[in-house]
Amino acid sequence: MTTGSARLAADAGRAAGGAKAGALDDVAPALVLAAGGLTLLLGFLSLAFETLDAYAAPLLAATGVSLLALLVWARRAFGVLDRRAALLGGAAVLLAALLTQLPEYITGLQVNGIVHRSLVSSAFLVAVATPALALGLYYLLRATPHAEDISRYPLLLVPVALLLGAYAFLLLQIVARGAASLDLAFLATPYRMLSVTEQTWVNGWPIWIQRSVSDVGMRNHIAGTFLLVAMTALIATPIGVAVGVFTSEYGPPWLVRAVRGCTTLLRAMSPFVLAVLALRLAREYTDTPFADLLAGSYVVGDGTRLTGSGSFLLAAAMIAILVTPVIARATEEGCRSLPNELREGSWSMGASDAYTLRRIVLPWSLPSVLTGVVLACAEAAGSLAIILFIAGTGDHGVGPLREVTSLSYLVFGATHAVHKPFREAMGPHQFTAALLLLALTVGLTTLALLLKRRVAKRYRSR
Amino acid sequence: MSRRHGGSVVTRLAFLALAVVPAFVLALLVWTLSRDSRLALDQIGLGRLLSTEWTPASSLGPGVFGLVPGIWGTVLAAAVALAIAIPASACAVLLQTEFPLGRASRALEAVLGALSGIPPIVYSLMGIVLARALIEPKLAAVNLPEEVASALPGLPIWSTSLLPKAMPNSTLLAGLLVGLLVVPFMSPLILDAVRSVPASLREASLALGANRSYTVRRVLLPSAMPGIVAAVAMGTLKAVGDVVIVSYAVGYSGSLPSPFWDVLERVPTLTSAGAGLMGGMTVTAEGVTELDRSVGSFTGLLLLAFAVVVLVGSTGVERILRGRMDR
Repeated sequence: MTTGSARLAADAGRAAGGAKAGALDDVAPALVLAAGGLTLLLGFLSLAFETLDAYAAPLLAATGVSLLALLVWARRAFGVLDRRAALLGGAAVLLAALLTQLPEYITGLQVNGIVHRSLVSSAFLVAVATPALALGLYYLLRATPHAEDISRYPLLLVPVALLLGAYAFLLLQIVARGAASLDLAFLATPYRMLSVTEQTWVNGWPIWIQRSVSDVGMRNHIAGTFLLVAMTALIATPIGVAVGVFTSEYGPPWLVRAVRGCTTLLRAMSPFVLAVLALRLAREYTDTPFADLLAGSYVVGDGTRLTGSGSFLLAAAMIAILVTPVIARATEEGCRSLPNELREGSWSMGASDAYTLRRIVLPWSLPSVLTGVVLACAEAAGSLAIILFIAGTGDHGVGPLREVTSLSYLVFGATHAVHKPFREAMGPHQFTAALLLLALTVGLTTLALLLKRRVAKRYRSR
Repeated sequence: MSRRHGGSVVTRLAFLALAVVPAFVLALLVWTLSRDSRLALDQIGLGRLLSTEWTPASSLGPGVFGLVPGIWGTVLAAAVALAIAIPASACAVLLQTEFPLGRASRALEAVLGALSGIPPIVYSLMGIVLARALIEPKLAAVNLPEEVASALPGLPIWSTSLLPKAMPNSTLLAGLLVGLLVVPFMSPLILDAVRSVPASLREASLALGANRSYTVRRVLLPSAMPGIVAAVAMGTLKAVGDVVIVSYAVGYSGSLPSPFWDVLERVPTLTSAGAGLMGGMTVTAEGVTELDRSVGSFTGLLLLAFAVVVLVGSTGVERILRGRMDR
C-alpha cells in the first residue's frame, strides 16, 4: 500500500536524517492549508455569485503551485515522493488552465443546455480544495498515522456541509414563503364549490334557482389529512402488530421468512403500483354495491347521489398496505428485545403462550409499537403518490365514505389540478399548505425518534 | 423461541390470519396488474412496448407506447440521485461512527432523523425554489444578453426564448431532489450496518496499531458490507420508485436524449410516464382511455418486477458476502 510504505519511509526518514527543523518547517503545509481554505470558500461563494468566477482560475493555479511546493518540501523533509500531492497539484494547474480557456457560457458536446462557467469553476474549486486541505492538515501534523485520521475530517465535513446547507436553504425558503402567505381565516374555512338548487315560490308557481355557493379555505383538506392518518393507523396497526408478533414469536421458519420477504417487498416497491391498484378498485366497481365503499359518494343539491373518485376508506387501506411494514418491524424489534428471563419465568410459572403474549410480551413492546405507529402516521400524512389518481378537491365534506382529499393533494393540486377554479383559489396558498404539511410530518417523525430514544434508554438502564 | 405445547389455537390462527394479509395483498396486486396489462400486451405487443418511441395518445392519434425512454429516464435519474446519496450518506455515517465530533455527531444523527420525515411533495416545491435560485441562472441562461447568445456557436438568436421555460426542469434537477430524499432514508440503514460490526473486530484492529482510517477501510467496511448492500438496495428502490418528485421535475413525455447521458434534458421516468398515463395531473378522467390504463398497469408490473429482482439480488449478494466472511 502506497500510503503505508510512505508512512514507514517517512518515519524512518525523520528518525535517520534529522529534519531541517526550524521555524520554516511548517511553511509549506500551512501555505497549502491557506490556499485550500480560500479555494473552498471561493468555491462555495461562486455558487451564489457569478461575478466571483473571475478569481477562480488564479486561485486554482495558486493552490496547484502550493501543492507542488508541498511536494518538494515533503521530499526534503521525509524523503518520500508523495504521489497524491503530485497528482493533485498537477490537476489543479491543468484545471486552472482549462478554466481560462472556457467561455463564460459553455455549450457544446451536443448537450441540451447552456452552463454558466461559475458552476463548473465552483465544482473544480471544491473538488481540488477538499483533498488539498486534507493533505495540508496531514503534513502540518507531521504525517503520523494519527495525522492521517485528522486529515480525513475535511473530506468528510465538506460533503456533509454541502448537503446540510442545501437542506437549510431549501427548507428556509419554504418556511419563509409559507409563513408569508399564512392566513388563519383561510385555514379555518372549508372549501366549497357547490351549485345549490333552491326552490322558491313566486306568484304561486314554484321556481328553482341555482346558486353557487363558494367558499375557499383549507379546512377540509386539513381535516382530510387527519382523517386519513387516523384511518390508516386504525387499519395498519392490527395487521402490523400481528405480522411483527408472528415473525418474532410464532411461526415455522419458512413461513416467517416468506412473510418477512413480503413485507420488505411492500416497503421497498414503488407506491405507484399501489396507486394503480387503487385506481382500478375505485373505477371498476362503480355499478356494484361496493361503489360507495370504494369510490365515495356524495349527495348534490337536488338529491341525486354521485360517485366520487375514491373514498377515504380505499385510500386508507392502500396507504396502510404501504405502511404496515414499518409497524411490523418496530413490533418485531420490541418483541425481540424482551429479555429471555422474563419469558421463561412466565412459562415456568405455568402460563400459556397466549397469556405470556398478552401480559408480558405486548406490554413490553408497547413503546416500540408506538414508535412504529407514529412513524407510520408521519408517512401516511405525507403520502401523495397513492392518492394521486383517486383524490378530489373535497368539496362535499370529509368522511370515511367521502371523496378523499388531503393537504399533500392540496400542495400538488394548487398548481396542477384539473379543476381551474380550484387552481386559482389555492395557487397563492401552496407554500402555506406545504409548510403545514412539513410541520405535521417532521413533527410526527421527531416525536417518533424521541420515543425511540426513550425506549433505548430503558434498555440501557437494565 | 416458540413452544409447541400450550397456547390457544384460536390465538395462533388469528395471528396467522392477520400476518398473511401482506402476502395476500401482494398476490392481489400481481393478479390485478397482470390482468390489466393484458389489453396492452394484446393490442400493442411486447416488442413495441419495449421500443424506443414514446408518444402518449393525444388528439393527433393513437399513441406509441415504447417504454425504453421511460426505463432509461429511470436509470439516469436514479444514477444522479445515488451519485449524490451514497457518498453523502457514507460521509454522514463516518462522521457519526469512526470520526465523531462529540455533540455535533449526535446533532447530525438527530437532524437526519428529522429530515427523513419530509414528504416527497415538499421536495417538489423545493425543486421549484432550487430551479429559480440556482438552476435557472446557471443552466438556463435566462438573462442571456443578446450579444452573448448570438456569439454562442450554433445557436440562433431566436432560440434563446425557447430555452428558459423548458430548461429548469431536467433530469438533473429530479436526480438532485431524489438524492436529497434518499440520504436521510439511507443513512440510518448504513449506520445500523456499521454499528452491527462486533466491537471486538474494531478494537483488535486498533490494538494492533492501525489507525482509524485503516480500520474503516480494511476492517469495518468489509464486515459491514452485507448490511451496506441491503441499505443501498433499499435506497435504490426508493429512488427508482419515486413518483411525485420526478413527475414535477421531468413531466410525462419525452424521448431518449441525443447524447444518451445528457441529464439536462427531460427524460420521463417509468413512474412519471405511468402517472401521466393514468391521468395524474392535467389530464381529465375522460381523456384517459382503457389502453392508457393498461399500459400504466404494465408499467406498474415492471416496477414491481424490478423491486423483486433488486431485493432477491441483494439478499443473494449478502449471503455470498457473509459466507466469505465466515471462512
